[in-house]
Amino acid sequence: MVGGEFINLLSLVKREVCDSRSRLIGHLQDLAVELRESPPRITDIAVHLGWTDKVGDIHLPRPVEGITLLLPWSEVETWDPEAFHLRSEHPDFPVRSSEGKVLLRRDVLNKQILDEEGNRLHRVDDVLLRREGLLLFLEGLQVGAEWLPLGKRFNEILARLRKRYGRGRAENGAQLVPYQAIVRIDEEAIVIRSRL
Amino acid sequence: MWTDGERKRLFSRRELMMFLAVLGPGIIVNMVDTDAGGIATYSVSGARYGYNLLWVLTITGFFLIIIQEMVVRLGVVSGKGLAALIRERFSLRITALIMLALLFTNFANTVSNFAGLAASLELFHLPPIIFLPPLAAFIWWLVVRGTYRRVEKTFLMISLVYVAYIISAFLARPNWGEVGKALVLPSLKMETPFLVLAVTNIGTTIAPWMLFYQQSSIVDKGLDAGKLVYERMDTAIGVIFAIGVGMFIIICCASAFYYNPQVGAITITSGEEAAAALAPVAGRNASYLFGFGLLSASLFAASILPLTTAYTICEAFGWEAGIDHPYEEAPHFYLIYTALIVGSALVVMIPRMPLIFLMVSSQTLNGVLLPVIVICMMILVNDREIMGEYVNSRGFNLVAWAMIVVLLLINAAMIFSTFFPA
Repeated sequence: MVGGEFINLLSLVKREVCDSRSRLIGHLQDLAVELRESPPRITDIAVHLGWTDKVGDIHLPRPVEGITLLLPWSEVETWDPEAFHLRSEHPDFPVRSSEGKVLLRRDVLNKQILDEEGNRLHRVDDVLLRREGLLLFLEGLQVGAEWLPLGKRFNEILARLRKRYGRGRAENGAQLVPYQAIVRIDEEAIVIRSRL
Repeated sequence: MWTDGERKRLFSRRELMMFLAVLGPGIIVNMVDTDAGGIATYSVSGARYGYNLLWVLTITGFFLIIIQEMVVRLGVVSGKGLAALIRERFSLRITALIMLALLFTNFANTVSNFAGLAASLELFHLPPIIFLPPLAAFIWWLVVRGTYRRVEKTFLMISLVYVAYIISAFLARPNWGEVGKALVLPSLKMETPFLVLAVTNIGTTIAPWMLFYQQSSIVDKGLDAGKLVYERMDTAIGVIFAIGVGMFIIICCASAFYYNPQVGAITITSGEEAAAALAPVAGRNASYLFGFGLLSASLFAASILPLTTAYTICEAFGWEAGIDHPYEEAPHFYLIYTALIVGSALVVMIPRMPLIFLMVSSQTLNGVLLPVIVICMMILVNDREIMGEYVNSRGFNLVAWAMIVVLLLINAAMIFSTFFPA
C-alpha cells in the first residue's frame, strides 16, 4: 500500500466543524469523491449547519435551521481528531451544487455490492480513506468483520483483487475492495470487477 | 385514507381487474399470521379471561391497518425491502442488532409452529418423535425444490378451516351484548398474566416478520405507487379477516370454558383443550377438525417463517438469497433457512417440552420487538429522500406516534408487573 494515514468514513461522520473564528457551526455529514481521478480524491465536504441565513451569495429572508451545504475541500484549513476547521467565517461559505457528485455516505455506504454477473456479494460496511497532508483519498470499500462473515464466492473475488491490486485487509478483520475494482456506482448498487 | 378521486376510480371494470391483479400480499401475510402461536394465544385469552381481552384485538386491528399501510407505501414507493431500507438509512450496528433480535424472535416463532405441528400430530394419535423429523424434511424440501409457490394456495385454502371457529362461536350462543361492550370498552387488570396476554395478543397479530415479508412481496410483485390504493384494499381485507378470526376464537373459547359453569376460567395446556371449543360445530370430531387446521396452518407458517427470515437477513447484509441460486452462490441463505428448521424441530422434540407455553412466549417476544421495528419504519416513511410526496401527513404521524406510545406503555407495564407482581 502507498503511504499515508488510513481513516474510516464512519469515524469522520458527525465530527465537529468550526469556522475561521473557531466557532462550532455544525458537523460533517458527508464527503464527495471524484472517481475519475486515480486515486479518487475527496473534493467536497458536506456540512450540516446548525443554522444559516445565507447560502452562497443568496441572503435568505429568514434563518433556516438544520441545513446541509456542500463546500469545496479547499475550504478545509486543517482537520484533526476533534474537528474540521474552515477558512471562511459563518455564514460566508462558497457553496457547491451536489448535482452529479458521488457522496460517500449517501451513495456508497451500506449499498449493495454486485459482481459483474449481477450476483449480490455483500453491502459496504465502511469506506477506507487515506490522508496525505490535508488531502483525503478514497482507498477502497471495507467489507465484513470477524463477526460478519463473507461468502466463499466473495472471498475468492477479494483474493483475486488482492493479487491484482496488491491491497490487503483493512483493520478489525475486515477486507477491502480497492477503488480500482469499482466498475460503476448505480442508484441501487455498486458493481465491482469480478472477471480478472 | 383515500381521496374522492381515488374512491370513484375504484369501481370501474378496468380498476377491478387491476385490483384483482394486485390482490395477494396483504391477504396472504394476514392469513399466515393466523398461525399456531396465534391460535394458541387467542384460545388461552378466551379460556382464561373471557371477553376481557377482546378490546385489545380491536385496538390491534386499528394498529395493524396503520402499520401495514406504511409498509405498503414504503414498498411501492421505494421499490426496496424493509431490511434494505433499514440498512441504508441506519448504521450496520443498528441493523445487526435488529437482525439478531429478529432471528431470535423468528426462531421462537418457528419453534412455535413446529410445536403446533407436534400438537396436531398428537391430536391424530401420531407420536411427534417419529413423525416430526420427516415433516421437517418435507418443509425444507418443499421450499428448496421451488414448489412452495404452488402449494401456497393449498395451504391458504386449508387454513380456512378456522372459519369453523366463527360458526362455533355463533352456535355457542354468546351474550352478544357483552361481546359488543368488550370490543370497545377496555378492561385492564394489573396482573402479570393479563398484561402478558395483552402484549402477546398484539405480538401475535402484528408480528415483526410479517412487515418484512409483506414489503418484500410487494417489491417482488413489482407494484408501484399507481397501485397504492389497491394494495391498501388488499391489506384492509387481510386485516379484517385476521382480526375477525382472532376475535371469534376468543369468543368461542370464552363460551366453551370461561363462561361455562361446568368448567370456568382455565389455562389451556393442550391441543385437545383448544379443540374442545369447536365441539358445538364439530361434535366428537372437534379435535380432528382443529388438528387438521392446526396442521396446515403450522406447515404453512413453518415453511414461510424460516424462508422470510433467511431472505430478510441476507437482504440486510447484502448476501445472495433465493431458492433459484445453488448453495455455493447463496450459502448464508441456505444455512439460516436450514438451521431454523432443524433447530426448531429439535427443540420441539425435547421430551416434556411445554408446547403451548412455547407458542405463547414466542408471541410475547414479537410484542416486545415490534415497537423497535415500527419506530424504524416511522423514520423511513417520513424521509422525503425515500418517500418524496408520499411521506406521512402530520395527522397520520400523530396517530402513529400515539400508537407507538401505547405499544411501549403496554410493554413497560408487562415488564414492570413481571418484576413487581401485585
